[in-house]
Amino acid sequence: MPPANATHLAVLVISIALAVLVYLPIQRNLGDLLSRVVAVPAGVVFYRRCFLLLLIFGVLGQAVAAGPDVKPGLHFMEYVWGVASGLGDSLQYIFLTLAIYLVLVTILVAALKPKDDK
Amino acid sequence: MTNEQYLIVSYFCVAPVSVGIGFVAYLWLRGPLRGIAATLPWKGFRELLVRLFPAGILLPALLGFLSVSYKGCNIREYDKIIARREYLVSKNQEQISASLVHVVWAVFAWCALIAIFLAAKRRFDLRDKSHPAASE
Repeated sequence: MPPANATHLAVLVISIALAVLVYLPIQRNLGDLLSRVVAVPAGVVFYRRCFLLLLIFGVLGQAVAAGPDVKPGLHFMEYVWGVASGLGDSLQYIFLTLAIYLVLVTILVAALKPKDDK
Repeated sequence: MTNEQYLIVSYFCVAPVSVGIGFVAYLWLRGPLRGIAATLPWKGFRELLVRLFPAGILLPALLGFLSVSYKGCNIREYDKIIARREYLVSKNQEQISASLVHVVWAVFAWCALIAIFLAAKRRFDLRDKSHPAASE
């Protein structure tokens, strides 16, 4: 495989792995919070699925468009910098998604006002 | 394969891929959305929501694909567009990326819309409990 393609593929795979790594630790707490706030089981599933979809589609969108600008015959570290640059864009997107989703959940909590706060 | 042939083939291959991206998102969210719609108290509105959902996800995916133009700032003539294969590949990548990003924004919009519906439903339920006769 040409090094440019390998670099692009590495960015894609690591970006998706990062998105899943962000999702996994918070999925249970998010589910608990949503089940208290939304109180509609389908709503909990909807918001959890939306969150995963937003993360995966978003990082894919970033990684596909902004492929690392590397050419054959470069030094090893130049490929590493290419991957790092691509991952930087993906992480930026993940952070943005987290921020917007957090705002959305906050609005949801404020609007629906869960009763049992104990 | 010449660059012109590549342009034609890739354009008509990436278009279904873009719609497919929207279709995957639609299939992933269809079940829970129907579940939410089933809990809403307004019957006509429930059906409207379920029928609007595919259009609300598939059209943004298609829009993302269509929003990418092959004509750039310095490249406006057809001959220049098909001169470099790398340029055509980068445009295909841009089309797929735009579809993904448009679907992401559509999903954000649906999340907000569902939040509004759930809040309205909560108010409706509370009013229903305090004044049972009002809803009849």
